[in-house]
Amino acid sequence: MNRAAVRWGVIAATWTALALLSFGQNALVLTQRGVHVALASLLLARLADWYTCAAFTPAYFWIVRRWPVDRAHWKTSVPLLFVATSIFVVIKYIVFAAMQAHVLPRPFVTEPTPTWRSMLASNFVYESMIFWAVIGVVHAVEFHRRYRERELHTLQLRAQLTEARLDALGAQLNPHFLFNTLHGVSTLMHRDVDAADTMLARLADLLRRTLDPSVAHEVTLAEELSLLDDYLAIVRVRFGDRLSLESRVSGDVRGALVPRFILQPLVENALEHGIARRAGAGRVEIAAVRENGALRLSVTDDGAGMRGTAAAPAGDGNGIGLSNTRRRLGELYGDEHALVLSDALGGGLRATITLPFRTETASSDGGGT
Amino acid sequence: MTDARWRVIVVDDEPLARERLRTLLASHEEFELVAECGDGEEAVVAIHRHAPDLVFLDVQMPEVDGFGVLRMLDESRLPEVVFVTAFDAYALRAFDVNAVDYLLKPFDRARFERALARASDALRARTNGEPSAQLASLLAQLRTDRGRAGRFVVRSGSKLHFVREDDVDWIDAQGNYVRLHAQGREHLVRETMAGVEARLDASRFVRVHRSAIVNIERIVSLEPYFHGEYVLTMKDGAKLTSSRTYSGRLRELLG
Repeated sequence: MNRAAVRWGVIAATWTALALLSFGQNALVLTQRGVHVALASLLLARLADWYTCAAFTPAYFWIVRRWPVDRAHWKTSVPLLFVATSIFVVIKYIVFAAMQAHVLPRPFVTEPTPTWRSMLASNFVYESMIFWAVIGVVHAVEFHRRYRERELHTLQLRAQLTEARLDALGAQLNPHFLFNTLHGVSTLMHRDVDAADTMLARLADLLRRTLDPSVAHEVTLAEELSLLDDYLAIVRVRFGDRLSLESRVSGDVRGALVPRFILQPLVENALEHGIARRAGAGRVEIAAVRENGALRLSVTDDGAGMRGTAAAPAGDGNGIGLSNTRRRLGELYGDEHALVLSDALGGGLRATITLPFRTETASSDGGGT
Repeated sequence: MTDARWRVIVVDDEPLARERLRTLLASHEEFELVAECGDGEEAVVAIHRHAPDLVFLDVQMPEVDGFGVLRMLDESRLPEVVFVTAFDAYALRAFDVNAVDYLLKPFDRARFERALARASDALRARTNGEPSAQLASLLAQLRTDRGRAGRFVVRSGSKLHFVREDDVDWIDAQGNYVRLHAQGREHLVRETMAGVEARLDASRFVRVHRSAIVNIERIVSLEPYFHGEYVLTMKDGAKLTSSRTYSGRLRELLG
């Protein structure tokens, strides 16, 4: 709101400056010619002339925002702007002539008041050129605004990816995870050196992949699942029979593109609600299916269900650490995504993500930013 | 004392972590591992039953953590405790302040031996089974910082069981005991009303009378009575009267 006020202030100031310049020029020319002119009246006439043009600036913004002269719209927008400009010039002179006849004091006592027709006849081309200059400036402002928006969108996406990577990193470098894993290795070393080796390799793998500086927003589901495997392999060694995992992912969806690090927060959430909050064995199930052009990913635990997520209302993923996930999905897929939390059959919480089903080859012609 | 073996319990939710301590303890003949527990409640029961001399207690565990276990133990016969933690800023600070020994995961044999030696010294120095001053001061700190254990320990004969705070409908005073009304059953717990009130979640439990505390989620109806008093009808059918002194808090909570 404040920015809009500043913008209109700048526009008004520009028009005023133009009016003052034109007043100065006229005054200078007339004085040189020795014509006697009432300067105050001349100033009012000049301001009226330019402000009657300025009045059309919002209309141009309105038109250009809808029909800009760009590759997609020029066939509509160029004729439209021609027609609009002609009409604006005519209106401008009707109003300006009326003001001169009835409102404004006369700067030159000698001349008769010109009619709008005569003013239009002598100034139509000149006035139209001024309006086209306005159109040019409005385009510059509009395109700059669009550029900024696009840039902002890109930055937001990048920031969210960074945030997701930090979340994933945070989860792995979570002191509990890291130190308990190292403690697990320290135990295994005395009994089963190979198992200790494997656990260390998994941990290194996981850290390396999380630290991968790639900027790709999406990876195949297969890649995402293999990252998850490393994480879960470690968790399983540590918790032994307390954790049972089931993964139901059919072969035809493994090539589908998903946002990087999308599953880990969901699985962590499930572990948190499923086993960590409760003594005894817990179960986590990961499923992926293709459904009418959409990919549906779900992570289900056997914890307390929605009841256990405190005040989070049904279907709302906020409040339990999924807000970043939700925001990223929104940026990447707009309205084509859904993230729903629900009670699973037989108790437990189920997080379901629905995305447009795309594979690497199909996505190359669009979708990216 | 020298020929008797010290009895040890190991508490950790991760099997590998228990294995580590078991292995390290195996080379010490003076210690006998009497039980291993995978969660807090199990630990409270095992400690009650075995009355061990020493407990290795993991701090981070689901449901009831190491501190919760400590709070539920019978204070008159606390074992020596060596805490084990991966990382917990609060715990580390509390241990340092109270000079209680702890092991940081992962630890090596040398560090473990030192902890064990310290524990042995403390056990030898014990007179009449008095717990160490450090443990007592940690317990006092926990009481003020982390008031809630989330459940009551109910002793009936030699058996222990637990009543979750969530399940408690209301509580009334019975002499030196308080009586919990939970899921249609009654349990006597040796505690004072003030003690119970202090440890309960103040946003859900409210004292309505000198001798009654209610879980506001279990109030079915509330009728104004005389002089700013109310008659409360509870979900289990019980009718309680709030006294004027305590009605303000009740009105405040019910908005």
